[in-house]
Amino acid sequence: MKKKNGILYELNKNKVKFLMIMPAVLYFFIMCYVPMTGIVLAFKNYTYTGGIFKSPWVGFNNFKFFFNSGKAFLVTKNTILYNIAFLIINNFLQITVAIILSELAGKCFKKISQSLMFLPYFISWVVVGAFIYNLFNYEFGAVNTLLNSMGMEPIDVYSNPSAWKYILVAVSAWKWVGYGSVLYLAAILGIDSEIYEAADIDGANIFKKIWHITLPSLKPTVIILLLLSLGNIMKGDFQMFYQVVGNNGLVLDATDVIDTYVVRSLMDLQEFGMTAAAGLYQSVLSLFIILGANKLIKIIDNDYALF
Amino acid sequence: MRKVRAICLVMAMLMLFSAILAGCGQEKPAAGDDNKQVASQSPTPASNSDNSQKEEKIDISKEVTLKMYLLGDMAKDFNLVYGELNKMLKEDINATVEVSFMGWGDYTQKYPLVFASGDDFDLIYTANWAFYNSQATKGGFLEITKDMLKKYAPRTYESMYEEAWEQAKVNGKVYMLPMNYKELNAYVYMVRGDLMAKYGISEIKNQDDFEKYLDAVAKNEKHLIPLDIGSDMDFDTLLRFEVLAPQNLDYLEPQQLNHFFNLADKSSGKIVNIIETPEFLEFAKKMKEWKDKGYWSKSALVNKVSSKESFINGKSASAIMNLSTANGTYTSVVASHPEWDVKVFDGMNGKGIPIKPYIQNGMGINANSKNPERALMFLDLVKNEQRYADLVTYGIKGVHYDLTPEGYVVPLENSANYPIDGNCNWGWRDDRLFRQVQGGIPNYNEIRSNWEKVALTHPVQNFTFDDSKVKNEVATVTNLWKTDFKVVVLGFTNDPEAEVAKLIEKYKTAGNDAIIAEQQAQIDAYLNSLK
Repeated sequence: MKKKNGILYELNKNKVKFLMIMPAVLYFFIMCYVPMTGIVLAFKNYTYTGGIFKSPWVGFNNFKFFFNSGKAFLVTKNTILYNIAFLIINNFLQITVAIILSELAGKCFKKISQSLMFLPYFISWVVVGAFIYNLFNYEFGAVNTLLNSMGMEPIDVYSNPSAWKYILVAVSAWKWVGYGSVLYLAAILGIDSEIYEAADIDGANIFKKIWHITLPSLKPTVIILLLLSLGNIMKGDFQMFYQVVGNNGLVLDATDVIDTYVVRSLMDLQEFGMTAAAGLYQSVLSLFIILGANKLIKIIDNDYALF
Repeated sequence: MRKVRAICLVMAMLMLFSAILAGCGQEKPAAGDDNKQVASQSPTPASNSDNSQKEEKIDISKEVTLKMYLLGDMAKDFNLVYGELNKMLKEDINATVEVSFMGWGDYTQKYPLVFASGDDFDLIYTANWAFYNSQATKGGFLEITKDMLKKYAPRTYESMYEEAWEQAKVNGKVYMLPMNYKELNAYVYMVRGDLMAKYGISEIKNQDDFEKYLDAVAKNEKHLIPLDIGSDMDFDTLLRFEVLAPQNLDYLEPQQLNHFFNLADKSSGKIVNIIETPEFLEFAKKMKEWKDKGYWSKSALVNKVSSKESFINGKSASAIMNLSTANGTYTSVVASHPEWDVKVFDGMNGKGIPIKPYIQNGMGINANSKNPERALMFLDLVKNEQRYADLVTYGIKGVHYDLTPEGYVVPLENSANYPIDGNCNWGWRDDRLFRQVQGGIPNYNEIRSNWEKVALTHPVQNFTFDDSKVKNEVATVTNLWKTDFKVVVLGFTNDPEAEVAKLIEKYKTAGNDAIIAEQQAQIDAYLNSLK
């Protein structure tokens, strides 16, 4: 007789379900778990002839460049702070936009505005970088040309570190609001309409309904999305920082994130071991952050935790 | 709470899916879509039936396509010229070449990628400044031996300068065919004669005259940037004129380390850490002044266009480049904008002019190449046959150039579509086949002969730095070169004295002293080994 809780019994009982989950499992195995062996590179001196596995070990040597420079703290701090700012501001805007869109009556206007907001998502950062350069270029930029024509003093954005904090946050919001609001809109549409009807009968106005029904119903979605993006909090959006800011030494203290710092240091050196080390540093910190956040949520409300 | 769970799950799946899709989108271009090349097998062992060429028992019966990477931007008529080349190659060695360009803006990113991706291209431009050493030590290039040359490139074997071969050695092995051409590494100003006449500047003999010119342009020509420097390629050219040349200093490769040696002091190879010298401080002050006067853009730090390109496009009033680049540029600019009356002036003041190492230009063969034999045969042709060299250097005769009876090249109208000597043909340049341009810079010979009289060589030029012991320091110092050093060199400082002191401090923290100690030890050992 088979054991009721043996693995074979389990496989046999739910074979259709296991079959259905197979592609996803295979995908993650091949695309995520197998490449993870590449982590060993972080501790090796990579050569083409040796490849990943036969190159010589060098211990923690590959990590040194990151900490020797004295910039490790700065860039780590920048990365985390920028990502937190993006997280809060983008989510706030996305939820606001989603609620407004869901309450809008005109179907045509709704569709058009949604598409327009979604559009930036498809524009590559390289192009966005060109936009920014042509906006803020001191001599020929659109902003300064406008200021000149109005008889005002031109502004010098490229040597003003504090300006970039706002530019980066604004650009990030511009790019992601449309995309994120679609997710929230889907969640809002999933809310039981009977609740709203009941509220109508009770005489609730639109703001009351948003405050007492929509927002509480969105809470689980918000938490899930927050938790998922926390996993990336150590990863600066490289394309964005690199393309929008460029190699501008004057503003680096305000704009340098781990990814751009690593690329700048290692671009000419092509030390794969050292880049792998930087990636590992980010991943390990991310792991701790996401574990910690999940634990915290578990303490507050067990139902919302990821795992 | 069931509902909450369900929504959670749906959202999680959604996010994962979008992550997967995003991942796909980003990875595709990196993986390379360059596998268009028809798989070509290595030639079968030589069969003696082919006796069209008596000595060579090389079987070329199988047609191959050689895939070649060059640096720079593809000229308009490039494919036209190479179509012509392919016809000749097909006839001679039953091969064609398929060329891809890596642009100046991003070759530093693409170059290592084509090796790391395991691409099976055959030929690639390489040089001591373009990854030769780093890719050679990583095993990216095929080793080239004299036996191979004897067999597949016999004429190159005969004509090659022995010093060039020696210079190309990395750990005793050669991985490239260096150019066979003596090149002077010295720079000229290119300016607009019409503006000079307008503001009464008759000649530019030195930096002071150049400053007058920049000043006149900055004050009166608001639509022009006087000198559009700032890209990673040329932000340090003024440093050369102001600080390096007067002291006979030259860069130790790699340039990013910012270490220099004295060309005139042949007995020693003492490293000069330029930022700690008083001359550098003076320079930093001067550059701040120049920047404040608007000689270059206030956005220069994020500039991605070289001064040359900007000049050609009519956005700026001057450019700095080396003599041979200037010669090609001059010809095409005179053709497209004769009203500018472009003029070229010597910027070196007769000092600090090095003869470039031969490995300043060269061609390497990929270690993964399936047809290294045919690649060598191709190089043998372009390095030794005048008709090949003429074609790839000057274009199609009658379309892009013509020859005078004395053998001077006369650029024709279409020359701009295939700039003379401007199509990354430098890797196989050869003294014997190189022609002078008629209608190039009028004072070309004057400048060149002035330089030749005082040009210097130094054994350290051929020294290659093995950075394996100080890699971490090299990484941090490289970072400084592109950021803090660049900021000071381009004059974006408020208080040069304080900021130069800060820069020195930053270099110290980054571990520059350890690099200098290691590099100096290696240089001394190298110089001793030559004695």
